[in-house]
Amino acid sequence: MSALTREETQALIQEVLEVYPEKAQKDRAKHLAVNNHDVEQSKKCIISNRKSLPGVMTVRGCAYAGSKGVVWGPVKDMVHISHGPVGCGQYSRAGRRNYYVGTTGVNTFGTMNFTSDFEERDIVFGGDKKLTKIIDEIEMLFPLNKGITVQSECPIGLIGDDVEAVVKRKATETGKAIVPVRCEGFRGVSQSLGHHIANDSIRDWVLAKRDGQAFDSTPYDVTIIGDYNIGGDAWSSRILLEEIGLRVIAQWSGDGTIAEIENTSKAKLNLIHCYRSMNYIARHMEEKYGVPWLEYNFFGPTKIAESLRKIAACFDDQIKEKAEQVIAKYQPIMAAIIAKYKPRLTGKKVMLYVGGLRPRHIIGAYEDLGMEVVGTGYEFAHNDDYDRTIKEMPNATLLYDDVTGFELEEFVKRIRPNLIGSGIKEKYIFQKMGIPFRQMHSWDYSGPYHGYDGFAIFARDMDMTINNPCWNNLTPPWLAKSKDDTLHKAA
Amino acid sequence: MAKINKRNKALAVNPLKVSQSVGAALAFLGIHRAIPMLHGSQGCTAFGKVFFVRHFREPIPLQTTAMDQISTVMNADDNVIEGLKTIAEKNQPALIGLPTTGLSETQGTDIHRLVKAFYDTYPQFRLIPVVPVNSPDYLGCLESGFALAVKALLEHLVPTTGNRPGRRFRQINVLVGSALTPGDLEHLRELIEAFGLQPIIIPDLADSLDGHLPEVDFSPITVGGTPVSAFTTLGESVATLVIGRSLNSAADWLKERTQVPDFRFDSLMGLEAVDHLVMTLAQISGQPVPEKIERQRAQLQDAMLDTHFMLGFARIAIAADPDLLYALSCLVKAMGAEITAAVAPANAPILEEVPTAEVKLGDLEDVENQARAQGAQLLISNSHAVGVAERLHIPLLRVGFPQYDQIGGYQRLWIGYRGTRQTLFDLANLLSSHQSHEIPIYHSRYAVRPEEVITPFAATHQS
Repeated sequence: MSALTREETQALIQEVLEVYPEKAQKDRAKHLAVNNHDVEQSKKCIISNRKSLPGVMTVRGCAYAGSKGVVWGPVKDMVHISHGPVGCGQYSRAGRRNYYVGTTGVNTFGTMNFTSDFEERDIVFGGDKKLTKIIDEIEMLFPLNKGITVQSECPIGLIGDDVEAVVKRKATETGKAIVPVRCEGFRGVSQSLGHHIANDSIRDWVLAKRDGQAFDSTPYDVTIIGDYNIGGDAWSSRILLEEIGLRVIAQWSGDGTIAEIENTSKAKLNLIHCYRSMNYIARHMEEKYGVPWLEYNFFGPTKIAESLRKIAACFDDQIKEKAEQVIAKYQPIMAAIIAKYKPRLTGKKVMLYVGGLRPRHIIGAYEDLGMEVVGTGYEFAHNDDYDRTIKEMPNATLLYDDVTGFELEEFVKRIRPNLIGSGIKEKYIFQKMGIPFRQMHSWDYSGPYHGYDGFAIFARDMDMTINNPCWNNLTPPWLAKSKDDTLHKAA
Repeated sequence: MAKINKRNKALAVNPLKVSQSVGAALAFLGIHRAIPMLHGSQGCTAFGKVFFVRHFREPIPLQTTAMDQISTVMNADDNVIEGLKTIAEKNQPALIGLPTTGLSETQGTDIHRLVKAFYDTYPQFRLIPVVPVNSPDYLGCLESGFALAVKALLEHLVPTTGNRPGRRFRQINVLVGSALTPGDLEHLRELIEAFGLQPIIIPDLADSLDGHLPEVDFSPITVGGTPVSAFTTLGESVATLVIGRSLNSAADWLKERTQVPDFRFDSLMGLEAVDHLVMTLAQISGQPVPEKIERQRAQLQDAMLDTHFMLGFARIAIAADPDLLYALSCLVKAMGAEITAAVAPANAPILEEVPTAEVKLGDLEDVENQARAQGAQLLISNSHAVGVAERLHIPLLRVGFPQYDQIGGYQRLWIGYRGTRQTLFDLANLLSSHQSHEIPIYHSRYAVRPEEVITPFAATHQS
């Protein structure tokens, strides 16, 4: 099936919406759209960042997920306390593979889980005393920690604990960064507000700490903002930035440290990969410290070359020249990868439903392999994300915001893509329907996918999934009708 | 009798505990055409869902009342009522489970009133049972949440009238706790059916989450499990089997309501425990023990002989929910092993009967410290304990929730003669592959050492 026309796509949306009662239909219609390159601003065609309906399963998380899971969790030399009952930290433990260097439990704590494990008495009598004790225990058990964050879970916001007071007192006592993050899960409509709250806590409690302190800077100091080093993504990006002659002084926050975060405002340019989760802090640094920021995309050779040139353009000729050299150096390697995989993947249709930057950033990588992204959507985007997406997606393709399980399934049934890229909650639904599926949050425990190194892995993974022989064995031979017929005819 | 050591530190490092809310949700996943809706914020459900998807590698039907800041502060009644309505309308489930979370419990929701309000507002959905259960995650653990939900299911679905115990003389009720895997339940069904009995397993996770490719495309509700209609016949069964002490309260209630005699088992692991089950089944059914089962017992006996070299005096550390901790401890104890560390996430009466000096209520840091101090040779716990085992340089046998780093844990068979045999083999293999029986090499005091040959004759004579 070739790509749908504008009319067909619109008709598909209408059809899917028909099962809803009128009110829900009206509400959901605003979240589904046909991509149109003529539209400048996405708010004219799609609505986002709105409340999900109770009982209509969304795959969205909560503010705690955005703060502990995304922004703060990967800062490796701090202890992050999931403050409240045990559930939140335990369900989500080991869910994101934020790679880091260090000795876990000694000077880094990324894969560990710390919680105040509230019991009923803590809910009734408050948890401030317990928190004080916990911070003392952390200092005793893990003296090499460089700081602590207190990630508030839902009940904290309700029982009225004064986390800030405890934290201030303890920070003075220990001389370390101790940061309260009021990321109670009920705040906001998705994990997105958690990103914002976490960014604000960095702004209020961390960023200004080294203001006025000497810093041995160079004209080529940049930072990587919004790369969580999932499967090593930040490393495969950093390689390229360093190869073109830049010095990366901070990684936010994959394999990052509190010291790097404190030094970030000394950079010449902040480079943003995940705009959604960290644009807030970049804007703040621009305003307060005059550090400009630039979005880039390191998925697939086309976008990488484009981004390297864009980044180099902010620096002198030496950097620009090196960027060209780096692009030229990798060109034959990339050509070989494309020659190997493109014939096996060309024309395959992909539907995406992810979060953050990926629904738009990965499109180029698929196109480099001759694949076609026919539908894309975000779990928790805002309209500025869709503004950026409209240009990346082919005309007349499908856009869906906070899509429900039902809608996505209907779209998939009609469009029959060759591959779906989404999260683990959706994975087994579609895999069991017989449609190849890749997790595009965790890279299905593979990666990195960023940078030139990542593209090689990305291409292999897509081929491995789409062209695996297991997809041919889904129907038992005694149920395969058409084959039976041919057998009869042959006999 | 084991002494229970309560938690004495504020910080939980690498907790063992999984919260009650998802335990309750899990029980509902064992009911046919059901869906649980957690009353809390979106994150509770999103994380809970990921937790089970990673463990079972299956789609997990789980809904949320999506509490936000306004409904959290004002009230979330509408979230519950409208959420129930949406599910009832869209998915036509046979049952909706409604566990609460730390958020809604702290807020002070009256979940039972809300269910009544839902039926009053939308009487057209009166026939869809909604089963609320108070399961805040600041109490208990996964096991207790699961047990609370089983009890709530019985309370809401077993009719007050029509009790005629024994009318269906081949039917037996089987209440199972969270310690049993879908693989266990499959085997348990086979065992019971071997005696010509028809079990109603509650909840039947083996039918819903055994990891099969269903014929239907995708279903937003469970595709297998105990049928809701089966609950109306529980009062006519000839007996009830109760597997797991955590279900005592649910079993007491069922017995009082139906008068069906019950037989309770704290464990189905190990020769003695399985003998007890088999004898009970023979007694209930009046049938002799089938040859097939006799053969399985003989196989287990042989396995016990074969593995006792490795397991005798083996020093084993176990961290698991109470029922599972008890069952595993008894099993290894019966093989002559020693329990050097026993840690449970929350208290339960059965912990006092764990065959060891003391049981610690704590986290994986506690089990690590105790195992190190006591020189444990093998650790039994969930996937989160991988790091602990690595640091202790001892092997890990994965049990309980979650198991995400290896495939197939959800389906593993632990119970019965067959399951026990496999466990013994695995324990023995893990122990022997991680241990080398090395003693220092002895050199005879009269042996001529190489250096003596090489050094000049004169030099040796001078000394």
